[in-house]
Order: sequence, then C-alpha cells, then structure tokens
Amino acid sequence: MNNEVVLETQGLSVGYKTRKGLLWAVEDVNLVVRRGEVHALVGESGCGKSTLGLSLSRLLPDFQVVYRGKIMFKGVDLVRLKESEVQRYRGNGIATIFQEPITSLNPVMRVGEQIAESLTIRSIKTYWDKVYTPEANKHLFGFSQGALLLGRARSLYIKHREEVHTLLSKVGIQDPLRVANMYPHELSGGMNQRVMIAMAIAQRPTLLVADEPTTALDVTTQAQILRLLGSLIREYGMSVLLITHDLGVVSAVANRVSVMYAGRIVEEADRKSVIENPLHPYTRGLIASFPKGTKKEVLNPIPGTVPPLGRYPPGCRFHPRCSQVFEKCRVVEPRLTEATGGRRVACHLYN
Amino acid sequence: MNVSDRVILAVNNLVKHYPVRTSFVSKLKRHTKLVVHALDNVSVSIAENETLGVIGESGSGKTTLGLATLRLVEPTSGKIVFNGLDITSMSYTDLRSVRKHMQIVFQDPVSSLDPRKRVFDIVVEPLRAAGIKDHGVLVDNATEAIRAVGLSESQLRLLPYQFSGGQKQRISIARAIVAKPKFIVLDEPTSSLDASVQAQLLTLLQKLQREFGLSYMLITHNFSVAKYMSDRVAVMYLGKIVELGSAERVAGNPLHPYTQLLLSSVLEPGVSTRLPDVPLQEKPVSNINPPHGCRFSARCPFAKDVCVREEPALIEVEPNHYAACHFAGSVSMM
Repeated sequence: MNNEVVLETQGLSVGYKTRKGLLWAVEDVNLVVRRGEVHALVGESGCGKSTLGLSLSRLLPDFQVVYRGKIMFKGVDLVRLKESEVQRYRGNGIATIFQEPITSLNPVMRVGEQIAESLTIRSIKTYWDKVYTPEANKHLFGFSQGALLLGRARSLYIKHREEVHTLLSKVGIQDPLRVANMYPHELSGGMNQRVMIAMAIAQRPTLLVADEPTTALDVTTQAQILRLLGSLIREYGMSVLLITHDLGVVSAVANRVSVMYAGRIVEEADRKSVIENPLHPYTRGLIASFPKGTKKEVLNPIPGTVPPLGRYPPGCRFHPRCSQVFEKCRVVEPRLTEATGGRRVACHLYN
Repeated sequence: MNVSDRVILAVNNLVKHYPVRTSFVSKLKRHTKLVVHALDNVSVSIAENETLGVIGESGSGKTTLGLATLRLVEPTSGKIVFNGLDITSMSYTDLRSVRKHMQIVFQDPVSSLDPRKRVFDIVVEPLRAAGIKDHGVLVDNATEAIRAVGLSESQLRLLPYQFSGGQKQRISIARAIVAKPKFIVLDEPTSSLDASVQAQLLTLLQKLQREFGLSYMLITHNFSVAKYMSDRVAVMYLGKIVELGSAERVAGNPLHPYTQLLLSSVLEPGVSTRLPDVPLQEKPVSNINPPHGCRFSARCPFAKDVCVREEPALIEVEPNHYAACHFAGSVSMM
C-alpha cells in the first residue's frame, strides 16, 4: 500500500431539500481514502453514512440534494461537474455495491446479460437513446421499451460472453456458463452478491463503495464475500470504502476507520487504535454493544437512539446519550482535532 | 432467576414436510414426489425460565421449528406438549386458551405490526383474542406492558410509522408479554437492528425474563447473540438438530464440524479478528429430498465414506452435550 490519495472530500456537506427545508445529512466531512486500503465508515442507521457513500459518485437525485465542499477524485472536483460529466467517473472510477443484492439486480434479466451491460455501458442516457429510437419502437407494434432493452442486453451478452465468464470466475463462481444464464431469483443471496461484485469490478474501478455488502447474508457467506473482496483489492489495487455498522467486520478487514454520528465524523484512526483503544465515547459504546460471553455477563448498551435529521441537539450531538457528558458538551460543539498517533477525534474529553 | 427442572415445552420427533408444487408434465414423468424437509425428527424441551437458542443458517428450519411449536404451521407428525398438555391435535377453539400463554416476536417489526392500528390495539390483541372485553382491564394491561418495554403510555395512541425500528420491536415485545405468557418464541428479534439497539433489546429481554419468569426459544443466526442470551443452544442444519448442549459447552467445545464452521465465522470486534477460510459450496444447499447419509457431508471437510452412507444419530458425547456426527469431538476445524 502506498500513500497515494485516491479520493478526498474537503468540508463536504450533503443536504436534502425537504418540506421542512434544507436538512444536512452529512456535514463538514473530510475523508481521505488511499490506494489499496479498506476504509471503513461505521455508525448506526441514520448517521448519514449511506448518504455520504452515495454522494461520492453523485448517485443521489440532483434535484433533491445540495452539496457544499469538494469531492476530489483524480484531480477533479466531482461536485462542480455536470451530471453527464460525472457519468465518466462512475463504473470505472467509483463503483458501488449495495446491501441487498436481490433488490439491486434486475429480476427479468439473466445475470450474464446484466454483467455484459455493466461492461459496456458508459452512460445510461446515451444507451437509452440508442436503444429506444422511434423507428425501433414502430417495428415492435407498441411492445414495451423493456423488450428492446432485453433484446439489446442479450446481444451484448453474446458479444462479450468470454469477458462475462472471466468476471464470474473472478468472483469465485465455479460454473460461469451455467450461472450466467440464470435469473437472480434462482441464485442464493451470497451468489447474487458475487454477481453484484462482478458488475462493480467489470470496469476496474479505482474506488469501490460497498454499502453494507454482507449485512443481509449468513455469517458463513459473509466470511466468503469479505475474503473475495480482500483478494480483489490485492489483485486490482482497488480501494474500498466499506460502509457497515458491524465492528466485527471492521476488525477483520479494515485498514482505517471513520466513525460517523449524526452526520459528522467523530473519530478517525487506524483499525488497531479504534478497536483496542477507542477514544470517543460513541465508538466505545458501539464496541461495548457487541454481545460477548455468556448469560452471566452484563451488556452496557448506549441508551437512546440517533436523533432524526434536523433535530440535532445543541453542543455535541452525542451528549444526550453520552455517559461522560459535562457542562461544555451541552453548549459547544467539539471539532474533529488531531490526537496522538495520527488519529482524530471530536470530543471535549481530549482537548 | 434460576432455571427450574419443570419442563414447560417438550417437542418430540417433530416433522414438517412441505410438498413442492410441480408441473403436470413432471408429475407424469416422475414418480417420486419432491418434498422440502423443513424439520426432520426434531426433539427439544425447554424448562421454566430457560432460554433455548436455536442457531442455523437460512434454510436450516429454525423458523419452522418456532412456528410449528406454536402450531402456527401444522406439523406433519410428532408431538408438542406445552405445560403438560398435548396440543398437537387440539382443536383451534381449545387452542385459544393455551395460546394466551405462548407468544411470538417476529423478525421484521415493520411487517408484523398492522400500520392502520394504534399501538394500543396492537398491544391488546392477544387479550382480545382470549376474550377479554373490559376496556379498563385492557388499558391497565397495555399500560403495564408498554412501560415494561421502556415506552410511555402516551405512545399507546400513536401509529406504528411514528416509531423507529427498535421502538417497533419494543411494541412487538409488549404485545407478546401483555397476556402474561409463560413461553415466547423470539424469531430473530434483533437481526434487522443496529448493534446498539440490539444490545438494548437483549438486555430488555433478559430483564423481562427475570421479572415475569418467562421461557424463551431464541431463533437466531448470530452465535454471539445466542451465546449471550441462552442457557442451552441447539444448532440446526437442513431440518435437523446437529448439536445440543449448554451455551458455554457448545461455544467452548463445539463437537460438530458445522458448529465449528459457524463459530469460526463469528467476527467479534478485536485486534486479532481474522477472516476464516470458509469452504465454498458450489450448489446452494437444498433440503428437497436430502441424501440418506449425514446432511452436512457435502460441505464437511472431514467427510468419509460412512458419512455418505449412514445418517449419524444425535448421541450424548459428554454429559448433557449431544452431537450428530460419526466423528463427534475427534475432528476440529479451529
């Protein structure tokens, strides 16, 4: 692993336009992902980690979202680009895989065809314009545009069959010929996630954003998928932003960890420091929430829940749930500052 | 509170087979019927105040076991004795009075709460089903239940969408405890929740167990959760129990290779946590007409001829620790 920075966000904030006004789901995030590293983004649901992950390749609907700050990728600020220009960086620049493979795959297309699409398509819009021309529609006598797309995908698969099969065997599928001709519902959750990964790596991305890739899977399958990701990282020199709430997964695969709470990063350090010696009370609470030992042991979970968007308390956002809260926490919001050992933490206990 | 010797629920040789629907042509061609063996000769018992953890991957039959013990699905054969009463062939009318004492909490709190009902009506449903109509009694019980799960009585007027996932699961638990049951099936109660909320709910469930003297059947795929919550655990694979014993012994000295595989796949936060090398199975495991030998033999790294030929019985390898493996205790993956 060298120190080349692959992606850097500078003071990135992401806000949703809602009926209650503009609500910031991600605020002032400075995130650095280096080449070949697995950077874990940890937090409970509602902390803004998925919003951050999706915003990196501008996958959120533009008309609903406001960005502030910069997303620097390959020397370009993705925030400033037009939608059509961002498209150039998706797939081969930043690829994304999602939590539930079965809902991310197209149920009426064979998986081989879907992989063939992801191999070739640069822009959904130009692809659509090419497939769906008024002349083409005329010949179909009003059959749906879907029929056109399916036919197109089939021909793409036939054209790129070899590459599709190579990709499927790359993700550990033993019998690519058979699997390529199956539909998502015929495959297990783990196999579907492998197909998703094959689609994501089809254009050899520099950065893979994996949004809870194993949460919906059995523990044994989870271990297989994480191993697969690890070997692909080594082979391709890819970087991964791993979004998860499972600190067990983080312990096993991450190099660096950023902990998010209520839209802000509250702690950032290497894996060993975070797991062995967490500084922020929130990180400590997350680790303590993990059931260890038998019935005799007592768990000390963090009380309460993440405050909803737009109803963040004044001062430190974690203070109503914090066990070490003091007067300053209720008034002043702590900033993410350098602590010892190249780590950063946002907590008044360390200032 | 200590686990007593009194058995609250005993399940004997429970079998649940689902027929597979096949096309007419394949029926003509094929003589053998396809049957999903969701449960095959499962026998367990749960004592008063005891928690039995049922662990397995998806498709292992653990949810079917939970549903069949409550007769929410009808078992194909076998016997269910609840509180000394054989409920296997009891009529649904008679079952009503028994059902008051046995409840269930489902995995997905969103789909298990009626979105158009107020929390009050959701929580008192088991009481209404048992024939209690007096509004005052309903209100008293609902208030007590909702407080016991850490919500306030003013929230009884709200609708389910106004709650977070963890709170919804608390409502499910309130509904389960409102009729003062003796036994609750917890079907993956925390698997859709965050780690912190999961920890809150697990401590709540333990507190309720002590207060009300409950027995739990905790169905989960998470070994850490099962170990933390249970007195005994049963490990299931393709409709069979492959290992049964105290939580400490099964976790400390797993005898069956499948249990060892599950345990090695648990990732606990820790500096030394490493990914295990899980052998990849080419075909998804299926419990449609499973083979005659050991059902795990296709995935087992130690499988010998005898494993394919003969099905191992669940035998007592050490005191109160059972395993169904020809080589129980003599093989180790860890």
